[in-house]
Amino acid sequence: MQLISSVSVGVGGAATIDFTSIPGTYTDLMLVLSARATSTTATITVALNGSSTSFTSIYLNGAAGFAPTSATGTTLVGYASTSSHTASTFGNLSIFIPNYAGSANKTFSVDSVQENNGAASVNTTIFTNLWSNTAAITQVTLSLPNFAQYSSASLYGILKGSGGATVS
Amino acid sequence: MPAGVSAWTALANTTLASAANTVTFSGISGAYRDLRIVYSGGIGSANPTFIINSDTSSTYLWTTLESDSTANSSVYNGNTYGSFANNYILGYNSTGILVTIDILDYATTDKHKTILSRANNTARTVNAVVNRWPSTAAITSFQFSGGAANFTIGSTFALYGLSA
Repeated sequence: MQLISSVSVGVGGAATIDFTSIPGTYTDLMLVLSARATSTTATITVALNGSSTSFTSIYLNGAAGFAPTSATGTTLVGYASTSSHTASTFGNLSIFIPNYAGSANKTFSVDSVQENNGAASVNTTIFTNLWSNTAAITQVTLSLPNFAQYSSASLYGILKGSGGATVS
Repeated sequence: MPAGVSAWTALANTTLASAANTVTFSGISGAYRDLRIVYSGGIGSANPTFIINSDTSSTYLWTTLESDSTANSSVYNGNTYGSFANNYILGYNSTGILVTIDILDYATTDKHKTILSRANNTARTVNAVVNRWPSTAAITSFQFSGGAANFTIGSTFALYGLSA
């Protein structure tokens, strides 16, 4: 696993975190994000290669104090801590995209946690996502109405091993 | 890089050139702390399962939290539930499956092995599964089994070792 690029949001925040010109030299991608919003809107969405269409997902959400819920979605990939949450708390998520440079539709998974110092009604969510597009992924963009300062993200490339497996 | 993240070592990788019923990583070195296994692709009409060290006699007790989005989440546990097998990881689908499996302390000889899976398919379910292999033996082989079905052409299987 090799670091491709990392981003740290500066003073004033940022509406997007954008990884561009992702080389096709790896097998898989992993993106990890630490995020806090400057507003009360927590929803983080993804775009791939600049596209926000042809996404489908199923997610399962647990929020402290509420019954678990599940639903279908599109570009939603997680929840940041918000301006109404405990100061200095950040949500986290990780996105795993296998075979991102291949020619099949792209299935990826997301694990997301929102943090509010143990208070109720924050979200822990697992997602399965599909981008029905056969293009190699060269750009990943995460959006929030505004990422707060000190939000950060890192993109890693994962290389495949040289050994094989027994197939029967 | 964060501690631990940079310590992935790619050990093996296979892309199916034709449909196959089993894929086995064998001769797994004990030199790492944990294992990560990634399966991406599809399978015919049977839920895939796994077999460790060729052990088909043990009960791989499991619990899963999962959803197909048509209802609120469900929790299943035991060793069988409906069509879910002893060593269940996810429901079948011909395309779009992604499974990541983490096996902690796989080479130790003083504990049963815990297998943590996250399985994904937007046509079926999202889930998180924990299995226990009731053996203190070090894990030296891991097999994906299609049971009554085959894994589809182009499915990929990868094995990584994670250092402490």
